[in-house]
Amino acid sequence: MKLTFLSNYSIEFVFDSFKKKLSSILKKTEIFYPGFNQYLQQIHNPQSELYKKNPEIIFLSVDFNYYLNSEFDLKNNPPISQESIKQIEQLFEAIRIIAEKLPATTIFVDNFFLDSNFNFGTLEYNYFGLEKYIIELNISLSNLANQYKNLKIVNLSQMLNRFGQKNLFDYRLYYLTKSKWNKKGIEELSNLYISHLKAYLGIRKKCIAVDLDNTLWGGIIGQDGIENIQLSNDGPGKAYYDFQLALLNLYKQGIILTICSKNSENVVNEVFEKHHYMILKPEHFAVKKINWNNKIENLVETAKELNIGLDSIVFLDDSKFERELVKQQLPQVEVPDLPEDSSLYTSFLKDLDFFNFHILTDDDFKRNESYRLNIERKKSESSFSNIEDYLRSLQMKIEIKEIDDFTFPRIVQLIQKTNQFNTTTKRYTDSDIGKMRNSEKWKIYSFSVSDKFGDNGIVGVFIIEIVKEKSEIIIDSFIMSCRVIGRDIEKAILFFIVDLAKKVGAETICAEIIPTSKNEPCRIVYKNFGFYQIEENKWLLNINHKSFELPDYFQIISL
Amino acid sequence: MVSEKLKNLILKELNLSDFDIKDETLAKDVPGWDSLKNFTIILSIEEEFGVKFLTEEILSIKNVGDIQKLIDLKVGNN
Repeated sequence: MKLTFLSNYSIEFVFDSFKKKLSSILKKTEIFYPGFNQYLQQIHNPQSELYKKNPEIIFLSVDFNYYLNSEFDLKNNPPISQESIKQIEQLFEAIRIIAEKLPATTIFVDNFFLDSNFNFGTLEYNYFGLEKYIIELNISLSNLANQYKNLKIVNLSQMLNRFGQKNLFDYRLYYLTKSKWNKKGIEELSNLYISHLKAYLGIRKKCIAVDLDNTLWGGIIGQDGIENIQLSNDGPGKAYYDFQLALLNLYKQGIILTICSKNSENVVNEVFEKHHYMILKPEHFAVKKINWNNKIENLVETAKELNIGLDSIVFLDDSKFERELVKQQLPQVEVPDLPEDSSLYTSFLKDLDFFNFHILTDDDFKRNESYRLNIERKKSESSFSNIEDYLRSLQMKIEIKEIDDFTFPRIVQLIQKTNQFNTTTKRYTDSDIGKMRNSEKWKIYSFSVSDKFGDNGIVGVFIIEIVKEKSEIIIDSFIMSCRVIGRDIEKAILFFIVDLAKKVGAETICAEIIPTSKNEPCRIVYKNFGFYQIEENKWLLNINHKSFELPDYFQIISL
Repeated sequence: MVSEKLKNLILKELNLSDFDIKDETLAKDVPGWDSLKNFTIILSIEEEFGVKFLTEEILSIKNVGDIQKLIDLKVGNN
């Protein structure tokens, strides 16, 4: 992946730390930095290296305070020179230009902050509005990001609020090197950029498995009783209440919550039913392992029931013993060390950096519901003696749709995130899909599945390459969320693809499986449908040699 | 004389397994010691030795011996 940094200060001081962190999420990267203060020239010159490189990612880090370089005008409001204001206008213009000229590039722009050295103290907000001016600039920047989809804002001012300028800046470096970040500042700035890259790449955990005693409330319910546990919207119990609120916010963003607790279920149910400040309800948890079995077993079962990998789970438990056990026995599970002091729980959860998003799709809002429904489906499955009868009983409807502006983000999300049923694991980004969408050679489809239990939303993507000269179509990618695996949906999709091949005048369908450590569940999909093997991982289907029948338990709606 | 502690710290910052670092060694004599690394090394020295250099002092550093003298001065004063 090609990344470019543009900056009006010596941002190269951040690179060492940034690259180190970057290597843990991306294998091949190339960083281009034209040097300090070259950003305007690079952006305005169409022949510049910036456009030649055509990077996938740009970090535009412009420190507004370097613009405050001439005499202040205290009769003006904001009390800064026309020169400074002009520079800001130029910057906004430059942002517009790159956003338009590089539509396939994602541009991360730092928002603005006022260096405390330039703050007018008690005059601010009362007489002068320099800080107010910065806030207005940030609103304009945010509006610009609404206008250009490829523009994302890096909330640098919030990061500085959190850690404090005095803790992150070293003014000796500012005067000697034109970069004021000290070691801690460099660390935090690269952390912030990495969080944004993770959000961009869809690198995040899917599920949080929580303990109960001393985790969701203070005390041990089995010993202390419901009236003595700490959980309240006031006082020390508020630490647990706030932690639950933070977990609930993650739930609402589509992170799955489960319980993994050594407790008696009836005692815990009483808390759910009767405790006034128990803001997390039983329905927020997709799986509840409340028993006296060991937690290893419970976590393995949780992953199995949800059909997710153990490496998608974050386990939160106040007990060091349980944490060490899980770390040892299930090294794939992420086990951060919950602080000893419950007052730090919420800030600890924020620091985890496992759950970064740039947008929330309808599917994120619905995800938890859909996992819960799946568990109901599983229960109903056991009442049928054969799988066909069960599938028939579901009354499945599959809606297949060519990509549009509404399905675009979800399609990219599935491409980035899906590991198990993903035939080739090609991680196309926003910009790749944008380009493919505009080419006649490619057809990109998403599909959604609903049944009598409810709507699963968009659960799969397939990308078809049309090779006219060979009368062939290639299934470039076939991706399906683990939530709907095991319902023969792949057969219905392949049936649709055969139909599509006929429509575009193709005679053969070529497909590839690129094995990864995780995509076992999809490896025999083509074989099962009747493709024959032409190479180790290549499969071919001649559509004229066979007739295909859609299983009677599906209804396909093609939009 | 350049102390082992200082020498090792410089080598570690520059990812070098070994290099003959003496009082009169200049940054440009040591592979990888550019102006960027210069400040990383200074900051690490401050952290490691629990000292803080003034801007003027950082500017006055010509060779490794100068760094050692500054450290000795600061640590002595403490």
